[in-house]
Formats: sequence, C-alpha cells, structure tokens
Amino acid sequence: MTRIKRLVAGTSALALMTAPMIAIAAPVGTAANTDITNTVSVNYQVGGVAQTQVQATDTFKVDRKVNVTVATTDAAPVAVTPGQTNAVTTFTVTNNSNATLDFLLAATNQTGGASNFNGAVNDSFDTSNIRIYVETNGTPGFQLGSDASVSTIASLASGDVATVYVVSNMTDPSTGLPADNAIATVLLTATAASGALVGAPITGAPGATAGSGGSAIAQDSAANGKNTMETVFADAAYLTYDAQYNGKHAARSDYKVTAARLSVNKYSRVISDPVGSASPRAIPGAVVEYCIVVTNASGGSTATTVAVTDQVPATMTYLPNSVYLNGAFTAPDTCAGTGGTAGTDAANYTAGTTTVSNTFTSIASTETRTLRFQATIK
Amino acid sequence: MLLVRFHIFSLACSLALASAPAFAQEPIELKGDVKVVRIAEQGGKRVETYAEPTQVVPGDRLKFTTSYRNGSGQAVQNFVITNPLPKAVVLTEVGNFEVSVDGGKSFGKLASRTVAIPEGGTRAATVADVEQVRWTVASIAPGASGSVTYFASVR
Repeated sequence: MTRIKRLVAGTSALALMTAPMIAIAAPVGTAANTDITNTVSVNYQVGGVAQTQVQATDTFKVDRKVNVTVATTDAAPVAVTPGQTNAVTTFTVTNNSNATLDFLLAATNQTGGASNFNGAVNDSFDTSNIRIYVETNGTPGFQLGSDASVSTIASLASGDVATVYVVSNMTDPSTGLPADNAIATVLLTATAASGALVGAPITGAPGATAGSGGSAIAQDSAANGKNTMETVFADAAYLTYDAQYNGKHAARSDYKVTAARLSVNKYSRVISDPVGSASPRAIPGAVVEYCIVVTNASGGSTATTVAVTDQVPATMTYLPNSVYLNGAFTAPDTCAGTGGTAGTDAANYTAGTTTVSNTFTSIASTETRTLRFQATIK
Repeated sequence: MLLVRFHIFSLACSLALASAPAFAQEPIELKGDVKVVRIAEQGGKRVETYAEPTQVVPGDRLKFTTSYRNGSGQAVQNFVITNPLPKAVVLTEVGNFEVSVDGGKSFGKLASRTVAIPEGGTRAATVADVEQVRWTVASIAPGASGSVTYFASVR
C-alpha cells in the first residue's frame, strides 16, 4: 500500500522535471535492515470495569535477500557475417534483491553444446575479443566509443535494470572465419558484489554507474541474530551454467553467421572459326567467348569488393577490348553483350600476366554479375 | 521474544495513566512472538516448521503469535487483542479473527469488508487490504491462558 503511494508520487515528480517520463522500477520487497515490529494491544474488563490497556511487542530485522536476474533481450540469434567486428548481443541485469548492490560482469564463449535459441543446433565456433559494455549514453542500442566498457555495475538499486552489451568479433581465435550458419553462443554472468568504485551513470537506473573493482559478497552461513542483518542468497539457477543460491545469475545469447553464398561458373563457346563454318569449330584461329557468372544465392549476406580474375590460357590470345560486364546470362553458356557496360583493357586486362579481371562493388543476395571476354586459339 | 509482565500499579506508574484500576493485586501476562515458516521434508511429506526469525527476507511467511495468561485471581471479560499489522508484512490468510481495512475504525470478518476503489464504488476486500486484526475472548478464568495467531508474509 505505502509502496504504491510512494511510487506514484515519485513518478509524478519526475514528470515535472523531464519531458519524456522515465519508468522507475519499484524496489523489490521490504528493504534489507528494516525492523518489523508487531505490537498487540489488549483491552479487557474485570467485573465489568475496563482496565488499563496492556501491550506487547516483538521486533526482528529483515535480512538482505540477494537475487539477481540476467536475461537476454535478443529474440533470435544475432545475424553476423564472418569476420564482422563489434557484433552485439544484448542483455539486462536486474537487481531483484531488497538492497542496493554492485554486480561483477563476466562474458565467456560457450564451448560446444546446445545453443541458446535452438537446442537442436550446437555452438560451433568461438568469438574473439569478447567485451562487456553497459548502456550509459542514453541512446538505445550499442554505440562503440560512447557506451562504457566495464565489467562492474556499481550501486544498482533494488528493482532497477541495467542494459548490458556483450560485444565480440566474428573470427574464431583458432579456426579463423566461421562458416555459413555457424553459431557462437555467449554467456553473461552477473555476481552480486560490494565495494565497487563509481563511474558513468547507467541509463535508466538512477544512482547506478558503470563502475570498476568490487568483490563478490558472501552469504552469512551460520545461525545468526534476529536483530542483525544477514545476507541470504535467493537467486535462481540457470541451466547447467549457474547454480541456485550462489549470488550469481547468467543468461546466454547466440550469434549466427550468415555468409555470402557466392558461386562462380565459367562457360565458353566458339563464336567463329577461320573457315567460316555455320557451326564454328575450336580450331586454331577460332574465336572463343568466355562467360563468367558470379551469383550470391538467396539468404546470403551482401558480398562487397568481389574480385574476379581469369588468366587467359597460354594457348590463346586475348582479343583486345573484348571485356563486357554485367550482360545478362542466358543458359546454357552465353553472356549478353548488351544491357551492361563495356570494360576497358586499361582497367580489365593485364597484358604481362594475360589476366582478365574485374572487381564488382557489391553483390546482394539473389543478384548475379557477369564478365565476358573473347580470345583466339593460337 | 519479549515478555511483558504488567503489575497493575507498576503499570500505572510507568505509563502514568490517569484511570485508576478497579483492582490492584494481580498481573495480566502478554507475550508476543514471531516465527518464520519453513517447509521441510519429513518422511517424504512436506511439513511446515517454525523457526526463529534469524534470517528473514522478502517473501518469507511468518507466524505471529500472542500468548496471554490471566495471572490475576479474578476472571476478566471482553478480552480484546488488537494487532495492527506491521507495514512490511501482508496477511496471507484469514483466521479466527476479525479484520479492519480502514485503519481500525471498524472490524468484521474479511468477507464482510469492502474497500473504495479510485474509479468510484467499492470492491470486496482481500487479505492484502487488511491493516489490523482483532480477537475477542469473552472471558478468561483466573490462571487460564491461551494464544492467538495470524500468518503474514514479508513484502
């Protein structure tokens, strides 16, 4: 009852101060160290005459209940590309204790085993340079260089929530670039602590800061005083990664690799021979047209800076100014000489190595690029 | 545990109350006590046990007991025990007591209580609305004793 009244008052006071109303979480439960005093009063009569009221009281102290909840706010694996840097998974750390506490944060790669979002698919690579950031700059989402890179939350009040980003690079430290559809699962653990130093204010959690230092707190084990405050761990377990009642909690999220799904095919056809056949034959002096087709299949990431090189065989002679780019491909073997752009020998042919080349700026999913050139058989 | 033993004239002195008692020989004893309810396994069954409230955290269920004894030589009547609930607890179940949801102005069984709602009108009161509980013992013979109990949980 009282708590609700206080909350309403607090919210309206805030509304006066700042235009966008910030939702302030209510504290969880009766604050630690609160005395609960039960007082009874007795009125009675003797011989029909009211006697003086008597009272009795009993007091005990509410202990510190440590309960932290870590959760991911990702709804599905975070889509990444091989080698991507600073890929972001997002978590929340909620202080469900009845006291303000510090929390130590730790992020690790899961080693194999079922992934977070799809138990039928296993974690198959590790990320590198795994880091932890806390939302401090007020702009939703992760901003590199602006949100604080820390591993401690200092002074998170009861009921309050901090947004935490686990950021890493999509290159496996031992196996390099991950394959298409590979999954990397990361685990964020928060441990209740004390003694942290303050840092930048955390967005959405008044009084909390992206701190430093601090050390894990321990549970009071032995029997103890009715009128002293003890620490009691009440946190939940998280699968096999975190035990119940240890002052910690954890959650996971996944990265899922979507590589570019590039394929390249090369076709050739004889388009003329020196004897003027109606059906040209591959004889010395015949002109052969090559058609190179690069395709990014459906579901792939956009590939950029796609360099195609093709060395003209030693038995053939490149036909100057015959490069044509991005004419439509017609099965079974033909790149059109219209609808695209003509290449130049300056840009597309290196005489010293007899190499035809072109760099396509980008190829999105389901798109196709072609390169056509001609050469004569020596 | 706090044991309060009231001798009538020491009470009169210490509390400096004006009204003179009708009799002046014997005490009424009152004792308030609280235990925290723990669930334990005993012989494969889950049973409730009552422990000293050394470790109490939000959500714990508490058993508040008031014991009384008529140490006087005379019967007492209309023995009314009024117990405002501490603000940090909420009643968890009704019992053999009357409740007040209006700060002690009126008492009755919970089912008969209503509370005003902000939109206008009233609704039936729930255990969460209870602010005070009250027991009435019609008569206690000389030397007789008893106890009353309610259960509440820490907010």
